[in-house]
Order: sequence, then structure tokens, then C-alpha cells
Amino acid sequence: MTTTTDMGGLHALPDVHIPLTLTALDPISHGAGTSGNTQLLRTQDVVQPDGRRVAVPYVSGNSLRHTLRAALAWHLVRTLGMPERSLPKTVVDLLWSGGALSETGNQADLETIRRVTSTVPALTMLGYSARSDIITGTLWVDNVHLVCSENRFRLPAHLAGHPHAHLPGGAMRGEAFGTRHDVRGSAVDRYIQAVQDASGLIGPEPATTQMIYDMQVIKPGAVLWTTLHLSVPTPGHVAALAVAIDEAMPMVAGRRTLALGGKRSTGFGSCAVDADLSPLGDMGELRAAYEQHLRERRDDIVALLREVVGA
Amino acid sequence: MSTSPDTVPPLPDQATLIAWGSRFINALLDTPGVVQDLGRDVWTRARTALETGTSTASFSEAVSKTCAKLGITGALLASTSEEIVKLSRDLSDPVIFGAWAELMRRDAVYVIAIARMDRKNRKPAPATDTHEPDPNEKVPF
Repeated sequence: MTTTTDMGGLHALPDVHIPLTLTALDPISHGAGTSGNTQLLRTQDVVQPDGRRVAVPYVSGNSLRHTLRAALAWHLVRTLGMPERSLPKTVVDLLWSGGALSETGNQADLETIRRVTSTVPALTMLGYSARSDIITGTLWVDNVHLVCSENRFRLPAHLAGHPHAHLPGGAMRGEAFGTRHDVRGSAVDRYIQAVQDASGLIGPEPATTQMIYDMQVIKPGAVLWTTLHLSVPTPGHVAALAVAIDEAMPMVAGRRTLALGGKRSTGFGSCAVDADLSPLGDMGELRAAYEQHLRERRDDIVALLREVVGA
Repeated sequence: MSTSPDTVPPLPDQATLIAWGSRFINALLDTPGVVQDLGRDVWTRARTALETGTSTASFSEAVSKTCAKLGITGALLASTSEEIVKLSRDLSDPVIFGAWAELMRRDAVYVIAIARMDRKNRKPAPATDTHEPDPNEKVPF
């Protein structure tokens, strides 16, 4: 695909499919309930070719989609130089979470939707809800699946011969734990205020709250795959996806890296990304054109975001 | 009639898999001190141990992990070891283990209910039972 700079165009470009192969560099946490004090991995029931039913860990496409949405939201406020405390909560929700319905009615405001696509392509690429409208995005994000024997029947061709394709999913499951360290018993004790009851007597010392928590994880070294699809995108959608990938999967130490799943701030979820991004076009040109488009329409964008949510 | 070498042997039925789960967890609960240490939480902890301990790739790993979940830090009793070896005759097969482990994870609450009733109804081991090992017994891995 050749890079286009017509960021505001509404014409439909051919669909784009970006397969991603991820290698877990650290444990991946993606929880779904607990058993005792152990957080269980989210699993998908998969029917095997022989009819057996097995539960296989996976990371939801919704989780990855949110990562892309958040990356684009941060990119937008940075690019526009938005001052702190300048956005209504409804606009923040629109940008970071896709908004919410706030009015009744069933009359779609097509003209506004077209203006949004022309002005803030990221919004209609990801889809959103605002006032009485639900706008379907053009970005489809597949679930992120493990390369393992239970998924062998649906592995993409380039992973069909992967050594992990012969290993059971159980080989990719592990456990990790964390602790909450209570500092009582250390030098900080002298700063703890004594507890007095109503009569002024010194009561019992505050209880310690040391704890340990376990979580099931997908082990480092596991290989996963997913695909990002753009269905009938506009040029702005293509550029927005390029920027989203660039922001959510930055080059770190010479390789694209993605934080997948939960507990990212405590060492979980780091994945190396292997992807052919050429169907999008030249990533540098797309980013430059997209950012120029946003900067040139800064005031229009700010006004339009408020208009969309009725703020 | 010839049999294709690719024919997959039929998996044990669900009742058999559940019975193995009951024998497995009860054998581990026989470890001295475990039931006493866990007290009123014993069956809740047993359920968690079974559900999370079988999230592994092999029976041998599941034994270690379930023991860890139950707080069993030492070696297993001779009688428990014997039961583990008996179970491993079938569960060392990756396909059978996969089916068993899947059921243990999915239906842990049900399996523990069965195990609890089995434990309540089982006869105490005779005092003279020495659990002599079968001289022909081979650990299948």
C-alpha cells in the first residue's frame, strides 16, 4: 500500500490485515475469577477436532483493543498539547474507554459521524458510544491465542510447524505470587500514631496487614498470535492504526514490545512483537501526516469532541 | 479386522476420571498434619489445590503442585506414594492426563464433593496393612 496523506478522506481503502506473533518475555496475567487466593487465568472453551472440550488460556482481543485505544488517546492529548484539567469527564471517557450512551433516541447523526471520521479518525476506527449513537469501529482485534497442541487446528500457517504446537497448553501455564510487605517491625515503627479509644486510653496496636497473593500466568517464552483487521478503512484509519501500533508497541532495545494483560506495572505482560507492518505503508510517513492533520485541526477537534458527547 | 496404528484409544469415562480425582486428593490429604492444619478450610483448600494444581502439563508436575498448594513440604507417606504410582499407570499418558486435568479444573467443586463423601465412607486401613509394593510394579515414566 502506498502512503497517502489524505487523512480526512472518507473513501474506503482495501481491508488491511496485520498478523502479530508475540513472544512472552515475562509472565502474562489475564485473570478471570479466583480459586482460594489464586487468581485463575482466563480461558476459552475449545472443541477439539475429535470432539473433546478443553479450556485453553488466552488474552482477550478486547484487552488488546483497549491498549490501542489508550495509546491513541494519550497520543492525541500530547499531540494537541491539551492543558491539564481541560477536558470534561465525558470526553475523557470517550477517548480512553469509547464513551457511553447518555440519551435516548434512534436517529443517527450521520453528518457528525462523517465529520468525526474526517477530523479525528481514531475515534471511528475504534468505534464509540455517545449521546444516543453507537458507532461501529473499523478495527477488529482478534483474541490473542497460545501456540499449543489444543490450538493446533487453528494455528496460522506460519506457526503450524512451531515446536510449541506439539506441547499441551498446560506446559505454558505457571504461577507467580506477589506480597504486600507490612513495614511494622522496622525503623518506621516510631512514626505510627498510637490508637486511643474514646476515653483517651491507648488501645491495641494496629494490626499488621502482610499478605501474599498467587496468580496463574502464561509462562515467559510462550508464543501467542493475533491479527488486527481494518475493515473498509479510510486513509485516516490506516494512519491511526499505524500510530496506535507505534505507540502501544514501541521499539525498546531494538525490538517492538507490547505490554499484554494485567499487572503491567509490576513486571508482567511484556511481549516481543513480530509483525509485518508493510500493509499499512511507511510508518514514519503515516505518523508525520497524521500528527500534522491533528495539529492543523486542533481547535476543531477540541470543539468536536465536546459536541459529540454533548458537553 | 486390522487396527490402524493411528487409532486413539478411547478415553476413560467421566466416572473413572472423577474417581481418580477423589483417590488423588484423598491420598494427599492422608499426609500427617494436613487435615488438622487446614482445619475447617480443608475442603475449600482441597478444591483450590485440585483446581490450580492440575493446571500443568503432566501428572508428575500436578502431584508436586497440588502438594505445594496443600502445604505438603515433605515426602509423601508410603500409602500415598503407592496410590500415586497406581494412578500414574494411567495418568502418565499425556492424552489421558489432559482429559483428567481438564475435568479436575472444570469440575473441581463436584470432584471434591465426591472425594469428601468417599473419605467419609471409606473404611479405615487395617492395622496390619503394610502396603507391600508389587515387586513387578514399574513407575511408567
